[in-house]
Amino acid sequence: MVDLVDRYKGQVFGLCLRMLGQRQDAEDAVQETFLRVLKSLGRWDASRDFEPWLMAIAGNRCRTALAARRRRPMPQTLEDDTVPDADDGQRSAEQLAEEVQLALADLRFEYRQAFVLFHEQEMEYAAIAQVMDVPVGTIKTWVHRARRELMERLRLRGIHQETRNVLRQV
Amino acid sequence: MSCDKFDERLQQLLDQRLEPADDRELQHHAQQCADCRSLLEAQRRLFSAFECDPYGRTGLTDNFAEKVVTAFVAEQPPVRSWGQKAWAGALVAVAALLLLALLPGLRPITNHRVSPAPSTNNVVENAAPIVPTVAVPKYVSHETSPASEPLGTNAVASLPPPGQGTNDWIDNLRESISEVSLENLEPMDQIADGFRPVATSLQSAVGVLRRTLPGGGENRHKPMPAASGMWNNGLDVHV
Repeated sequence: MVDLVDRYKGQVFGLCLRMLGQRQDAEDAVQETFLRVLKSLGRWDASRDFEPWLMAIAGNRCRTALAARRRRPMPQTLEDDTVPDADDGQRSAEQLAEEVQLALADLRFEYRQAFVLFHEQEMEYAAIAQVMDVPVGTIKTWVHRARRELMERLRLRGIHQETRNVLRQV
Repeated sequence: MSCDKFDERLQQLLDQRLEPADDRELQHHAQQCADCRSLLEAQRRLFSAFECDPYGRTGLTDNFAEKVVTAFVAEQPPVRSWGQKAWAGALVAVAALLLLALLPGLRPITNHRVSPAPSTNNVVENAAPIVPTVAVPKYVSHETSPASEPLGTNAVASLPPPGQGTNDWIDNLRESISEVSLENLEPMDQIADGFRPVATSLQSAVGVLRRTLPGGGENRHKPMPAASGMWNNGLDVHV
């Protein structure tokens, strides 16, 4: 059992962190995911891939955690005033990552999960369709919409401004 | 290339996990269209952000897996050990044997009274009409009128003949019952729901037997009836 958890904990944590945006919540979700997996292992259909089953459980845990979070007051972790002006050109990689995380948090849950599974977990569309239990075409649509919304959000917030200035100077 | 084609091509490349910046057509259009150029730059920044790890994603504690497994084990209902199961099984077997062997003996009580065939060994005419145990009539009727007692003959078959270690057998039986304490062995709440009625019945039956067998329960400290010749027919009664 320890080996099983060790093998997949990073992958599950990556998804939970992206879906929840908070480390402690993500750790709790990972633990709940593996507890659920260990309890249900006897019912797992061995003819199917383990990974989509695992990630589906993780996704459900994240959805439950988000629902619980909505029911309790949460301190705002990232505020707009922590982001410097786009023109200052000093935005660090960490700030960019936080900005992306905020943008992700604004996405519909399904778009976010499909996007993270495809781009960060590098799962194939067919596997994601298994995880989310929808047709492959739906997954593609969700991933495309997630990309467009994220890119548009970053563009509107001027994340790319620094590069644009550099290009102009060139 | 139109802006729509640019977007379509961009999505296509990302679906194939290819780098849009390496695509000549996209680059050509981006140089001519400010909106698409900014979009391409936003895409680049978006994906570069995923390479950054501000949350310490890999920073799960080293013993995280052990913690999870410990929590999992703690949540499991207590599993009875093999010894506990064997003990419970032995108890049920003993109780079932007792029931099979001794319950039929309840019926010959009537027999004992309606067929008082004189016995040279154990009949005292003025003996008080007390039937001390449920097992006594079996031996009486067996000795006096075996043909008149069809009931319980199968059950008595396992018993030794009268005068040949009967008391030892009873004593052993009682001791075995004393040793097998239903109350202490298995709390009722640990027995599966489907077996509880059976367990309750067995528990009651064994309790009755313990109280009524010679030397057991209520009779343990009572003197044996002197007039009851059946207990003095050359047998040592150790109770």
